[in-house]
Amino acid sequence: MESVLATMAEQLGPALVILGAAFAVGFAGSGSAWGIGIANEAAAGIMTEDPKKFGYALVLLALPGTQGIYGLLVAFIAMLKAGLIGAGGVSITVWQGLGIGCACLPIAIAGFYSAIWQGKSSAASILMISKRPDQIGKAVILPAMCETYAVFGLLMSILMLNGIKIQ
Amino acid sequence: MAIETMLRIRMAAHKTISDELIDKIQRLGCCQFIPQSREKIDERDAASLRGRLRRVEDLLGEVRFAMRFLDPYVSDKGGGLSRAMGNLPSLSTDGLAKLADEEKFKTTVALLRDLEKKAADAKSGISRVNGLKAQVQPLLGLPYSLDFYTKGTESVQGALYSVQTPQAEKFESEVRRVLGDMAELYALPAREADSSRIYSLICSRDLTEDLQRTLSGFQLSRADVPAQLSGTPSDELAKLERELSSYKEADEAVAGEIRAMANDAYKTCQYCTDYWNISRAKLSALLDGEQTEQIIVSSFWIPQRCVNAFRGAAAPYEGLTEIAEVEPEDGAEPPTLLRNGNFSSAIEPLITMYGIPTYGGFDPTTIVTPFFYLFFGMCFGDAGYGLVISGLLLFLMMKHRITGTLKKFLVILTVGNIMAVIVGAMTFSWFGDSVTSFSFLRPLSGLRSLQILDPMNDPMTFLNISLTLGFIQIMTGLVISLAENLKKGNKMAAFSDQGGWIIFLCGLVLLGLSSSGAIRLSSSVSSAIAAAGAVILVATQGREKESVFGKLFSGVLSLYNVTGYLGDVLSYSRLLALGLGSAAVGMVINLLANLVSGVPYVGVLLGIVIFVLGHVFSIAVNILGAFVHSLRLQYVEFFGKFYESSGEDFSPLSMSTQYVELSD
Repeated sequence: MESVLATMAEQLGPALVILGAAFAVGFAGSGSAWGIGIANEAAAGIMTEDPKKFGYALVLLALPGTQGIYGLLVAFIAMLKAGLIGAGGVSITVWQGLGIGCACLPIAIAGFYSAIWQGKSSAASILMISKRPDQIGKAVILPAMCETYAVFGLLMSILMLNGIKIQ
Repeated sequence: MAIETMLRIRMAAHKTISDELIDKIQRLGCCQFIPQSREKIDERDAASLRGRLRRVEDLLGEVRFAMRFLDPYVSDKGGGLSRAMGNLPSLSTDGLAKLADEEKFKTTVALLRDLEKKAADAKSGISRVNGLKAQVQPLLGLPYSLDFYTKGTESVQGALYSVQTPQAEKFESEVRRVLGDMAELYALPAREADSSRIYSLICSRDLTEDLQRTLSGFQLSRADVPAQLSGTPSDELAKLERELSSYKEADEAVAGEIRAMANDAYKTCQYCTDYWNISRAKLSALLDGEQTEQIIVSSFWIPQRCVNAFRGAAAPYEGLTEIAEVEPEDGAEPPTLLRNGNFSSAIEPLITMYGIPTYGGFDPTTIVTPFFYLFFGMCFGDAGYGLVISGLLLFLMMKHRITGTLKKFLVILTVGNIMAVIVGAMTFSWFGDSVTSFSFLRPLSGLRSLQILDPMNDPMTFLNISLTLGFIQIMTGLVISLAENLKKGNKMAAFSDQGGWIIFLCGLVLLGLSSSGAIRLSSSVSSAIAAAGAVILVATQGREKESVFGKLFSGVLSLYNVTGYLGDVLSYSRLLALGLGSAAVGMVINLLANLVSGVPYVGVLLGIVIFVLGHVFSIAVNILGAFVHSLRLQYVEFFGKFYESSGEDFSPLSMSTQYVELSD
């Protein structure tokens, strides 16, 4: 019985890390896909009128894509830390695993929601540049306001991961 | 870091020389004409000018038509990109005037209109013949000439019926039963993918009534045969094919003719656009003035330092002009022209993108410059990326004569990327961690000696630097606001609104630093500073309220705004997050490249592909993020403290051209 418990304890740590990493990539990525999808609808709409706006629209609709990258980044750092990729030779406890898993949550949650709302802002900005292409600078700034909170999520996830000490 | 002082000049000029004079002013390019209200303009006196303006506008309309028409046929457009790169033909104004020959242009346009008509005729012919073809095609296989169905003969009339396939047999037998030998029923060969069959029925005109009765029991439709077709369907189809190819040839011939002249004509149109746009601007400026029978009285804004140049240009006409500096009318706000040194003027488009500074206000360009570049460098944060991009941009700027706003943006990106090289070298980030992760790059590990910070393993130091920079920028904003208030004479606002906050916030920061042991300062001193600031705020922030209680309450409540300042400073933590982001994306790409390089045979090649594509992607994503977020810090956190942007842009009458560069 004790050996079973020991095996579970040994494997639960990495499993929790994997759960956290899966959340980070899964949720932040879904949010990005959702946000870009929303922006795409607006982009396709204005391109039926003027296909030359493709370049501008592409920049704007790519903006909600960063959250997915942040999620991917945090997942990589978490897995590196737990020795699941890279050099290896690291063993983590259940509590360390739980800590790393939880550290992935800020970017998973903030990334998910901020990407969707950033997608909506991007869509609005895309409609704006269909009438005023000279205002592309302002149009790029507006959606970035939503991204701020994904950046904070990323920051906290990285700081938390950094705070977990593994021998 | 200044806003040009503007003067308002009122100039009366005799109409005999007004054209020449305005030409010179246009070449100077430093006078913004102020439109007079229409009431002051006597239409009779302005009639000849208005006529000239209308003629130029008509010509520009024609040019637009010609360019739109020629657009699909032109192979050498001197495209937008090459234009932006400064590859414009260089011409003198007289040279341009000669090239924009009105007679030649009018001949070209007449020719184009003619060709447009020919092309339209050919196109409509093609679509008409195609329509007829579509009507004849189902009838192929009919051995009779179509005359029977359109006109018929004296005694016989033919018709074509389309019958749904399930009813076809019944229809056939019923018609044969009723009409027998008196009618000739012919079924056209059944066609695939068609749910109906077509029958030809030719019968004596006398039997029309019997026929109608019989047919009424079936669901069928009568197929129309176009009246102009007379032969058998196969003959007609051959005829139509011939007609179609002749239309197509005509269309090709017209297209060829247009293509042959398109490049030259398009160039002429470009010259005409530039020349007539200059003329239009000039005539509009003349029409902005008050008109009398012999004199035009114009008013315009001119930057103070250009006045001498203007007076020099006007000197030859001294007897026929009258020039006076006048006080601006009430409510007339002069336009804003920024004047900055060569280096910081590149940042001007970023400032005006937010809004034009109010005339007489503060131009933040010089102050924003170091902050923006530093923030950009910290957010992009990779020496390898910085080297690649700044190298590319420098090459681009040296190779091409780029001017205007585009050049300013390129300068911004170049300097920002040079900053990224410095920050990247300090944090030992060269294409992520490529120096340590690839064994063949080990010889470069000497670069580690440049490392001062290690944000990956010790993010707190970098975070502290970010927040400190944020605090410095916000304090700068408050100090600017304080100075502006003092300049305007609002001593109370300067002392309480900005002074109070500066003392309070500095006190809080000192208190934090001294209690954590970061600096050696008695905490009672820092507490006293913070308390002094708080007292000023409590005492003054409610000064608009009437009752004592209201004053006190608003004063105490204002302290709550400290959360706003806290939020502003914390917002600068993005400098760390984005910098870490660039480094970590780079690290992940190197990791992946390393992983696949172990694959036998193709591993190294795959690794190189992943490395190159991955880093190109990382540069694209991170450069956009770095630019947008460093700009946002200026716009939201910094400008919010002091910036007034209700100014109007200065747009002088000038020789602005789109397609050529004027050498004089």
